[in-house]
Amino acid sequence: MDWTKAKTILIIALLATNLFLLGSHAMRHGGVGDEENGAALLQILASRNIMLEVEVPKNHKPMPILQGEYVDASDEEVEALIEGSRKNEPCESRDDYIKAAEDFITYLGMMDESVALTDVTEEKGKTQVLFESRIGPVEVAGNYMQCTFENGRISGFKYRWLKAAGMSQRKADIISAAAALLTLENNEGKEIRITGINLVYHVPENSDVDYGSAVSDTAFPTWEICTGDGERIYVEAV
Amino acid sequence: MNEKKTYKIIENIKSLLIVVLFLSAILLLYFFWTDQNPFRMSFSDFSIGGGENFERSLYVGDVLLPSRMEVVKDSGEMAVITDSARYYGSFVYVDTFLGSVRKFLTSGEIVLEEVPKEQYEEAYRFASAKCCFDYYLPGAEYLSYLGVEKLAGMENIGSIREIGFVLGAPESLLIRDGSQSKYFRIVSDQADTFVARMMADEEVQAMPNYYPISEFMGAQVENSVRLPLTIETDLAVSKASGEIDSEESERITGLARTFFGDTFDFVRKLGDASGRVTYMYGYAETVLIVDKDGSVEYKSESDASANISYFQALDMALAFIDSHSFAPESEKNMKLRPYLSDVGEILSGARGYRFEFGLKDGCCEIFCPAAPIVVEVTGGKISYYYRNVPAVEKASGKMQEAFSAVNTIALNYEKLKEVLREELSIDAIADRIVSMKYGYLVRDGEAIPAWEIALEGAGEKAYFDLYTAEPLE
Repeated sequence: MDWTKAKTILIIALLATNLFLLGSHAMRHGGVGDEENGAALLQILASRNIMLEVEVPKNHKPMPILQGEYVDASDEEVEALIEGSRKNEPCESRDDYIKAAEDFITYLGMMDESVALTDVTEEKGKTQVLFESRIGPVEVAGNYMQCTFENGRISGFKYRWLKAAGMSQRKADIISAAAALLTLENNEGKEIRITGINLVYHVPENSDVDYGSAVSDTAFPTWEICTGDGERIYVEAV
Repeated sequence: MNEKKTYKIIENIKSLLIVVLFLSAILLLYFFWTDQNPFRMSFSDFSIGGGENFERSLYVGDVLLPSRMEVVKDSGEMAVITDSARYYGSFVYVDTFLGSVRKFLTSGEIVLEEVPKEQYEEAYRFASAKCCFDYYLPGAEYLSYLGVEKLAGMENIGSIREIGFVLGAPESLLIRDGSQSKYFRIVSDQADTFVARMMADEEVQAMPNYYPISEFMGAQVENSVRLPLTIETDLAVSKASGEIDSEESERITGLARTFFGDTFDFVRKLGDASGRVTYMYGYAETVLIVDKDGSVEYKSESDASANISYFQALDMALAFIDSHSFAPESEKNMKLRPYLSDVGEILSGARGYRFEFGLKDGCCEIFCPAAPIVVEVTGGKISYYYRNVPAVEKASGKMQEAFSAVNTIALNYEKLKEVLREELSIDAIADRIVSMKYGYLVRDGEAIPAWEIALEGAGEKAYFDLYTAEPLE
């Protein structure tokens, strides 16, 4: 027997097997065929009368799970702070409003690095300064702090804030945005326009849970899908 | 010469390449088979075995104990060995009895036959010993567990309620089938000497006699549940607390990890203002609740539909209890051990069994408002687990006489009426007593020596101070 030839054949056979297995893995885990998949995705969504108006995000890395504690400020404390701020000079510029709102949040002990300014709006003589929460680049959906100003002085404060208390040691694989989109149903048949899809942290909703008394909870990486009529749909991404 | 050397080197490289390619093919096949992404693997993902490494301390034989042992002495009077009967020196006769039954069933030729009720009851009027089981115990499976390989007709035994020997017929083992009100006798060519040995023991002859409630009460009472005339005991009030404090977050996390294993990092953890922590996996497919009082409740939805036997299910339940318990036990506390107190068959949906466990320290029973440990095994999987085991400090007082059992009933007739929520005469109440035991009642941070009375048709049990007969709410 020619062992040299036999070894060469064996090497070629094993190499082919390994390449085939690697290729299969790549196909399975989304590394290959994105274009074809993208076209197929559009077709499937269109058959459900769901129109995709944004690009589907790709290449998302594994993410940790966020463990958080709900921040609770007492009504008395908020009232006392509002009362105390009446002595301050009234805000005039946008920057004044932002500064006053940030100071208010700091006095309440709710300020940390995750607090990010979202918007300052003015309507019917009231100015609203809205903050959201971000862990690095990722938004914590549902978290907000809103300071309302009347005549340049703070008059109200609303919030729902899950403060980061820790991250899981291990990171979870994230399902593709395409897979999240495929979970969408359209039972009414009316056209749904997808105007945004982002990876956020989100506390899952569950009818068995009493959210009123929750003091701590877990937020999971979640695909937030925004529709043309302002609805936000959350699809857990782990 | 050089050419030969080069040829040899190339051949060696080829051999090495074959080995490397072969190993990588195996590795890739493993990834393919387990559907894991080889580009995102870590070393911790490679595990051998199931990862459930824990030491078993609970086995079927430890928990499958008779509810009591009834001994008819030579004199015809009866003594009852219960979990609380520590003053007998030991509970050793129950162990010896079960050993004798096992030996009897396996050492000779045996035949099973049905006997009339009258004959069965007559036999137990004389020197005898029988173990009574107040819970479901499938006959054929139990006999197989005791070592019987084949016995014609054993599948006809529904649920064993009583099993025992009589002195007058040592070649017979008597069985009462509680589910069908049938009576059986297993006859062997080897006689058993258990009752003879027991009767020769002076300690047994000196055991306090138990009398039917009917003998203590009015002529209209027919209740045959037996009570002692007097009891001496050294039980004393001691401190009790939950097995875990809600502040002990590390212990809680450690316990929770045992339920979720590798997925624990991805489990939802929800805390509420009451101090309760809820762990959820998936869309509440698996839920674990650790309450402020130290109780633990685990529920797992499963579509498993495997049919497993009573003993397989019980073993599975015990392994689960073993692997999901708090450790370590404190030296100052009683070492409470679970025993089987009730068994129910689950017949709707995925079939299985519900096992309820009581607790005892040595021979002293601990009374809890609800079963302290419950495990449901359905479709071959654990679907429910509840644990609310108290930590009770060791305590021992001087030996003293307990308040008379009969007087406790008579004195608390009004209270028993309240528990039954019915307007009944004292005789009618006496007829409704299913059991009366003594042990520790765990309540409001204390373990109090108490009488426990179970009444037929009552949702709850009644408790009275063991020494004063005062009702314990």
